[in-house]
Amino acid sequence: MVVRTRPAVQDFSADKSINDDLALTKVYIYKFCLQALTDMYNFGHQRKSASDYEYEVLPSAYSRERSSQSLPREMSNAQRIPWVMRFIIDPIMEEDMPGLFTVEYESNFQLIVLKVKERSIRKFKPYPCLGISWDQHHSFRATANPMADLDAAPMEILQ
Amino acid sequence: MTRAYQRIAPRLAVQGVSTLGDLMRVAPDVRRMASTVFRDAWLLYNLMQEENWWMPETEMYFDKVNEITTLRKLEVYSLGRDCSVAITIAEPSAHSDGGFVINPRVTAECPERFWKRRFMRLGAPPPIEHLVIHHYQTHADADRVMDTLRVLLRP
Repeated sequence: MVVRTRPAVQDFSADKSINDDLALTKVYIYKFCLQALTDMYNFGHQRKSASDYEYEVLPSAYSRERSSQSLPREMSNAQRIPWVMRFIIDPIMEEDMPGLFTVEYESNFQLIVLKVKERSIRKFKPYPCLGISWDQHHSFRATANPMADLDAAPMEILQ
Repeated sequence: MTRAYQRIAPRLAVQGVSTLGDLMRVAPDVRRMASTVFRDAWLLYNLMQEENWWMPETEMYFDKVNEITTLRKLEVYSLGRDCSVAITIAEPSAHSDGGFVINPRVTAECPERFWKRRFMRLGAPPPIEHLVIHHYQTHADADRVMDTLRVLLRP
């Protein structure tokens, strides 16, 4: 027969580090209760609206993105396409007009073209497109229908 | 970073876009530009998504304004019921604000009182000869047009 006995309670009262931790925990609990009471008060008679708070809570990913934008990060040729896709093309393709577009870009990352995917209306020519291009002096250009119709453009430009 | 945006000819030119921050500052302008350039393409795409509607190509007219193909006229038929609307798009000019004009076709199956009821549902004042949607400029305005047509051509 196995008898389980309650383990003897250890006396930590002499241990200073444990006492310090306990004191700190009490302070935390006190602060937490105080904050909870304050929050409850805000939902009482004189309820505070969200706009009364001076701070704004931002999602952490958004904050990270915002803080990274403030860094003067020079764009390399290889970075250009993913960044333009992420910050310019994707919002247009996915949020504004989902399902309408297809994208083409040159292998040297100097030209990105946003084109209409749906081409079943034959009379709608030239189909609208938007070209985004750079030159070596960092001049950015966005041009509607850069070539009259991209299908008719010379192959050396597209490939 | 210097920028030049031509409102009439759809071109945006910005010098010194070398960092991610520069790119982020340019992005809203490009988005607005795309919204204008692809307005009619977005409208046609949405019209074609509607299963019970039909737009014959023979009744579509396009024009080229400032390097952009612009939709001028089209006819939309509702297949469930023999009713249709004619659409005319007027570009803004010095004399007018432009607009999207919908003319309901009065037929035996869709008489005047039918269109009156549809206009009332839209909160549009009579007469029913035409319905004007003002400020048709961006893809968001094409969405407004679609909402209106869905009420008018509901089976």
